[in-house]
Amino acid sequence: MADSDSLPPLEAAPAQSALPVERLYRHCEPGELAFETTAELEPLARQPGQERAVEALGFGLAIEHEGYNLYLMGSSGVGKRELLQGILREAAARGDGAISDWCYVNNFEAPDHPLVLRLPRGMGCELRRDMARAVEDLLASLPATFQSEEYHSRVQELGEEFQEQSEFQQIAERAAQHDIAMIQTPSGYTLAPTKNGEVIPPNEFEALPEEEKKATLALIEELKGELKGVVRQLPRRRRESMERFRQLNREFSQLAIDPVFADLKQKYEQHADVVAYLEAAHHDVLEEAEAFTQEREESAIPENLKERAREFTRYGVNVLVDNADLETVPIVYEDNPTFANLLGRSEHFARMGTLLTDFSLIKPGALHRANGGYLLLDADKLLTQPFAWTGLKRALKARDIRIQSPEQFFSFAATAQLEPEPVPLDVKVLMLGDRYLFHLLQEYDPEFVSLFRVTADMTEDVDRTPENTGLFARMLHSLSQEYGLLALDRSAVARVIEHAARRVEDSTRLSVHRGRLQSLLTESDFLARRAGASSIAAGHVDAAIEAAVHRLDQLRERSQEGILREIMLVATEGTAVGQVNGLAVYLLGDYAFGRPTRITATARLGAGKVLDIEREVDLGGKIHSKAVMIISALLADRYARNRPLPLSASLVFEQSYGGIEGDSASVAELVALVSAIADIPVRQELAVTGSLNQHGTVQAIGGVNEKVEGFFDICNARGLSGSQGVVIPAANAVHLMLRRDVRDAVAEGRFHVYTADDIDRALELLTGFSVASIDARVSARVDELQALSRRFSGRGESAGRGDDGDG
Amino acid sequence: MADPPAIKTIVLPIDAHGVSRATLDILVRVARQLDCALLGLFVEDARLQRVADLPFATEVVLTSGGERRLQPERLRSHFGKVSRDTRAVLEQLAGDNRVQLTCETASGARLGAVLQRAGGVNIFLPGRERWPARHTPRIRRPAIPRLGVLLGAPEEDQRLLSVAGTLVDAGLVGVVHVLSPGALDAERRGAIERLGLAVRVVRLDGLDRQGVTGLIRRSPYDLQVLPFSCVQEIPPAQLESALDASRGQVLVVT
Repeated sequence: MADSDSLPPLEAAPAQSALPVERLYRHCEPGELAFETTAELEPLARQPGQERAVEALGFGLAIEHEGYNLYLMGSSGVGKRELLQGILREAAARGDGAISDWCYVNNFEAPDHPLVLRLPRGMGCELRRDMARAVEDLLASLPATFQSEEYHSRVQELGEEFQEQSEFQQIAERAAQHDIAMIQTPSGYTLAPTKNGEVIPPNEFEALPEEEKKATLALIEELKGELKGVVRQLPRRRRESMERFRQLNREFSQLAIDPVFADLKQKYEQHADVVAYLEAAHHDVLEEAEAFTQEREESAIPENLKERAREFTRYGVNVLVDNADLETVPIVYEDNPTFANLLGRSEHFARMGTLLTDFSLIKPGALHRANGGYLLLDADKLLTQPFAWTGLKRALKARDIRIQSPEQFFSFAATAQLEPEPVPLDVKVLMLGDRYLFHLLQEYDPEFVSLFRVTADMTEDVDRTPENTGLFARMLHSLSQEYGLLALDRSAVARVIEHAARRVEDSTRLSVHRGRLQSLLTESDFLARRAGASSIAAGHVDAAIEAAVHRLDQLRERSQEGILREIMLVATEGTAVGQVNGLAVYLLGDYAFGRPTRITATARLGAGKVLDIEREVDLGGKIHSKAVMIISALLADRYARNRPLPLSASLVFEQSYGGIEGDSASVAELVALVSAIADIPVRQELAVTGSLNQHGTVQAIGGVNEKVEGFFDICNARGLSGSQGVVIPAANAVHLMLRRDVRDAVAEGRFHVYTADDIDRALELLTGFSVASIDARVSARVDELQALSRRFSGRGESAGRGDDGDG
Repeated sequence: MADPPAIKTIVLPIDAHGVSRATLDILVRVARQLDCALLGLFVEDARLQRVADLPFATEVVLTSGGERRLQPERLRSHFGKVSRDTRAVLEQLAGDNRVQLTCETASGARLGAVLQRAGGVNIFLPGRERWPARHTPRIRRPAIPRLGVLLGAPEEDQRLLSVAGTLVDAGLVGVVHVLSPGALDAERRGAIERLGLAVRVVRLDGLDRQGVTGLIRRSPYDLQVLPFSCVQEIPPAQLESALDASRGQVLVVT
């Protein structure tokens, strides 16, 4: 501790004026609003202040070049989807692109590569019906064709033409003429001499004259030769017979099949790919005609024909996307953008322990449904689904949709899978996300940059002008209508406007965060209805705000309790050396609260280093560490520009066991250091917040309202002394929208809010002493430390070597 | 409903060629509907055995066009196997359909042996040719898609039409063609109409023995029902030859 008696005395600082209460809150007078309730107002089609985003969206939706997909950025709940919906509806209505149905059909030559058909909307289902009806027609007509007398006659004719027995019969007859019998054996034919119609026994044959025997045997050999010749012709004859019968069957098949497909081809003649498919189907039906002849007794009944027709799945039409009822281009929002939900999938069924699939089991994804129109995706959901982002990019770059399983996509598939023909893709993708994700993608994904070239940036707030105030009121009316809420009277509108300024921490601006406004109105409506009111009044809004705070306030209350019970030490009166009340803000999602925290400093003879204890133990973030370095530089610049600064100091946030980040405590830290160096007491009845630069300028900080209220709550709970208050950066004065109880205390002179735009004013406010006397005292102390340093270092030794070991 | 026919037994001659299971199935079902017993007559072809005894006897094999020695032992062995197999199938089918079955053996020509037993028995003669690759409904089709009935003497027609009617009533028949050697009188016409649906009448004026043989040879019918009077004058060898070329079965009604 410095010997304060040897240091120059401190002189009182001139009186400092606090902010008047009018500067602490910008009211919205109900009289400024030219309506009684919002029911009188016109709804607002679009959120105010979104001109930049709307212009970007308009451009992005209109430009047709590749790579001009859109990223609409804004915080969660700001109203991205709602903004888009209106704009997209207009764009879709203007759209002149044809709306198409998309179908998958069997590829008869390669069933594992189904073919895609594009048809005008509504024709997909029509084609499916037509094919089903064609199959029913064939099931009815083909069996009858093959039961006709004409068919049986032709079969009979062919049968006789290829009668195998006739040729054998001829040989048999010729043999009989020479008394030789041709007899059928189990395996073929044999020839034997006969007499009187009976086969000659061996002994009788042996008894014949030699010449006769020879002649008989020779004739038998000759006849055998002929027989063999006929037998050898049999295979060829049979092949010929089969081919002729096939031709006959095909001829009769065509009689039934050709008219059916001729009608279909005529109907779809304007669609070349459909006609090509019908040609292939026609050919396949001709090949598979036999399957249609499997007749059942009751097959004439139409319902059973339909049942049987369903068995012929190979001729079915899988209508992937049916846009029959769509009047504008599709607008699809996929709220669960998994790989399969985006790109489609092939389903499987189990048969005999194996998983099988075919074209009829292909299911569409969101890209299919949005094809020709617009697809909306949430960026955070898209990026957290495995393979979804990669799959989407591939589809956009290739301009087609390939239905693949993830294993196929990454070439992991070990078994054969379906590979449907890719569907040509013409879609504009709109990703909705926050700024953080956008910048991550910009930084780390070059494909994102090339595919999403249009960024639409939604604003979170607007200027609080009379015009915007009017628009804001209309927006509240629109929200009320949309969610079926009571109208707001103008006092309620005024209160919401003030709250919107508070939300954005700026009395000159209004938050247009749709989600938060909707929550506030809904909760206000609930309270109003419960009270039996016919409209929402300011009291309902206040109650809703307080209730929302109360629901999340437990941590703040516990924190405050800890201070009031002096478990956490925070002084709110008296003075102390090297000790300042800093202010921290705690963010809990959408809720924040402020809390005073004791910052202490020590100083001693050393090598000129300011030790940030938080940083030393890895509890201090980078920004906090930077702020401490700035303080060090400021200190050195202010008090040791032309000489070494032979002191070591340390700073700490007392009783802080979590991380510290930010620079908003740097004013407090510097004041604590100066106090510690020169033994200058600091007023504990004040708390201070503010960031410093190297030249001592106090810079704006965030959470100023919560910080002021946090210190006020502690002082108020202990009993306001009348001299307590908070010092804030002058630049933050415009951000003040303090609570009513704080304003009331200020109006009554029991609490004060001061501003400081440089460290000099802050020092004077927090110590009550003039900055000149403070500087003189600090400088004198530095002189003392220098002398001590020289004494300890000895003559000729370096004055820069101290207990810290560095200069 | 047709009058039950006054017939008792159907004889099935079986030689070394055997009879297919499908044909046996039709036969057993017909026998059941006609309330007949079955007699399987296994006829060993003596003539063929005599040929085999000749020292120079060979056979031309249909499957290869080659020639091999015709051996008596092989013929007997083959006939024995065919007989056993056919008998086993017949017994199973007869048992399943509750049709009385007896079996006998005989020696001689197949048809000669069976035609000698005429008088109170009917004869089922399987054709040996196969139908070509025509389109026929395969699921739940009638066992006898096309039935042909050749009318003969007036006193036989009643039994023939009764047989046809019984088979139609049992759902075994798809279409019936009634083949008339001449003009139909009113009585026959009435009997035909009582058969019910899907009947066509075909006039075959001047049908003689050769005509009947040709009808059997070129039969477009899955089963032809013939009066015994039409076949009794046909030499067995000629009848055998016609059956060799026939695709359908023949039921000779006495």
